[in-house]
Parts: sequence; structure tokens; C-alpha cells
Amino acid sequence: MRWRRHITRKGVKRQRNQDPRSTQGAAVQPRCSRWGPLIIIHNNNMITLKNTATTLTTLALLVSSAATVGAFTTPRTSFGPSIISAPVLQLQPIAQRTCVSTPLQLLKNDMTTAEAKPLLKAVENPADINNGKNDLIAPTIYALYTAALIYIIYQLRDAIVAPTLGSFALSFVTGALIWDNLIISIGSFFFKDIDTNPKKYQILKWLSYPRFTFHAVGVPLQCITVAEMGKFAGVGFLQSDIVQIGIMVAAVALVRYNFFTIDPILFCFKHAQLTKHASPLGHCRSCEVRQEPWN
Amino acid sequence: MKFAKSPGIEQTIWDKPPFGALERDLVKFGYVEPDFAYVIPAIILALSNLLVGIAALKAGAEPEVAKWMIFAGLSALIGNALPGNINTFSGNLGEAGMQFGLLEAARIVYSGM
Repeated sequence: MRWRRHITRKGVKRQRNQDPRSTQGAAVQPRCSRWGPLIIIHNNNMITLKNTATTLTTLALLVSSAATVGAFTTPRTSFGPSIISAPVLQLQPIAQRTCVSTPLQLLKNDMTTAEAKPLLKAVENPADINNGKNDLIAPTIYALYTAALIYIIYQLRDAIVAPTLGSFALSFVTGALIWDNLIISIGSFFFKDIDTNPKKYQILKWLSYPRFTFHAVGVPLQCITVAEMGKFAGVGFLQSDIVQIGIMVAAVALVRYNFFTIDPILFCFKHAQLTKHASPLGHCRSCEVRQEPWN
Repeated sequence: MKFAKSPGIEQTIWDKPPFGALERDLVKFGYVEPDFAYVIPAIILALSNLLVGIAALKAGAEPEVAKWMIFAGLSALIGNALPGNINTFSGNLGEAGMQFGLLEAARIVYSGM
């Protein structure tokens, strides 16, 4: 006796399948009720997605099991056989195994650079040593920061009824921080291979320049916001207009000290020179002949 | 002029201990030659938030604004003062906290002017 689930308008009920062979060669069309689960029944009963909950549970189990075994953790470097001869290995018997996949089995968090030096000799590039943690954690943290800052700038839009220079600076710095965290997040998600991909390296570099520019320009200007808030809150020495103007001048001076460009489009950040050959991304003629890793 | 005259930025290379640090999963650019001058404005901003907040609290006219300014200042200072590899994450969290504190203060200041 074979049973299969069947959807009717009134819900799901069980229906007796009297002759399974009678439907051979013709798949039953997927049906979906507006409140019920999706059911796909193949004629030979090989594929049966009973409901979306089952599908989601299966996916969740797959993801969790993949995370458990470190599927999302990119093994960048593993110690080869040459490490077996390293003297430090005597301290770590685990390294006697045939396959040492995680360099952290040898390197400890509290090691100093001097202690780790013998181990690092066996690795071509110490920067490639995997930290043994899920690769998605760090960029996700920055993505959460970005989301929080987007919420803040969205709230600022409603909070600022009377715009001033201080309120503009506050919004500007919030926007700059959104860019800062966003670029770090997407860089870590999508630019993992910039070591081998010059195009991606340049793209991320161009995207990263505004992080530093906005930081250098915006942070000093936010002192004006603080001064305005202090004046509103009744701080004595901030009540004077001269002091307020003085703080504005000091903030601009700090911007100039920290970072100043006449025209970013015609200014090469790398070589600190004005040029007629600059591209909108800040390249100049000197950049074309400089020694990049791939030139 | 500091940044414009500097060698610029390059990919951050994580070639120093601790090797289990979470920050090693980040792909980002940093200063070729980090300079203390770059963080001076951030320190001034965080301290001015804190000091003006304390002064505003003493003035007593707008204690709510003062409270949020102190929160903003402390958030930025503590976040950026934490050591080593934690700082990579706590620094940005502190900055986000500072912006949140200033947002709450701005709700009072810039809507009531």
C-alpha cells in the first residue's frame, strides 16, 4: 500500500495511490497552496520535497556542518614536509603527523616575533598563514558596523531640523564611517584574491583612498559639531561667537595639516604632485612607470 | 599636507603575531608609513566630546545632551585605546558608538534650535 501527500484547497490530506505503475513516465505537476507547503511528487517517488520547512532545515544542517568542518575557512598555506626538520617542532609533537593542515598547530597566539621566526622561515609568506577561524566572521562584523551607521545617518536625516555647519559635519563623518566600514567589509568578502589579481588590487586601492581622505577631512570638522552642542548645552566659554569662529578656523587648520588637496582630480595621492595627466582616480604619469608588484 | 605627501596606502600585511587574530581575515589597505599625526584629530575629537560633555553636565542646562556627549567621548576613547588586534574591531565600534551618542544629542540640539 502506497501513500502520498496531496494538496486540496482545504489543506493537505493523505490519498491512497492505488496503482503506482499507472503514472509511470509522467511527472505530477508541482502544486502549491497559498497556505500550505510546496509539494513536488515525481512519478517514481525519487524526488519528494515535502515542504519548505524540510528544505530549509536541510540547508541549515548543510551550512552548519560545512562551517563545523571549516568549509568556509580558506586554507591558504600549510606546512610542507620541510617543516618536519625545523627544530621548533620538537616542542610540538602534533607536527609529527603526516598532514599538518593548520599552521596554528605550531604557532601559538602568545608567541613573540622572535619565537615564531624559525617557524616562519618554513613559510614563504607569513601573511598567508591561516588564523584557523571562519573567514566570514571578520567581514560580517564590519558589515554590522555599516548597517548600524546607515541606521544612524537615516535617523540623523529626521533629527536635523535646523541644519548648521556642525550638523553637516556630523552627517559627513557618519557617511565617511559608512564608506570606511563598507569597503573593509566588501574587500574582505569579495577581494580575497587581490594577491594574484592586479585588477582587483587596483580597484580596492581606489575604493580605499576615500576612506583615508574622508577621515582626514571629516574628523576635525566634527569638532564644530561638539562646539555647537556645547553652546546649546550652556557651556560658558562656548557661548562666545569668537570662540565658535576660532574653533571653526582651528578645525579647518587641522584638516589642512592632516590632509589638503587643491583639486583631487588633478592631484596624484601617491606621488604628491599636481599633474595634467591625472585620472579621476588619482593617477599621474609617474604612476604609469612606478614599480607595482605586477609591472 | 601630511597624508598628501606621504607614500600613500598599501595592502595591510598580517605578518606578525598573534597568528590566530581575527583581523587576519580582513583584506584592506592601510598607510604605508603610519604616523601619529593621523590620529591626532581623532584624539582631539574624542577628548573634546568628553570634556565639553562634562562641562555641559556641570552647567546643568541640558543634562541629556551632556550625557550623550560623554557617552560619545568615552565610546571613542575606550574603543581606540584597547590593545593590539582587538583594536581593529573595537576602534570602529567605538566610532560607531560615538556617532550614536552624537545622534542622540543632535535629536535635542538640532531639532530645538
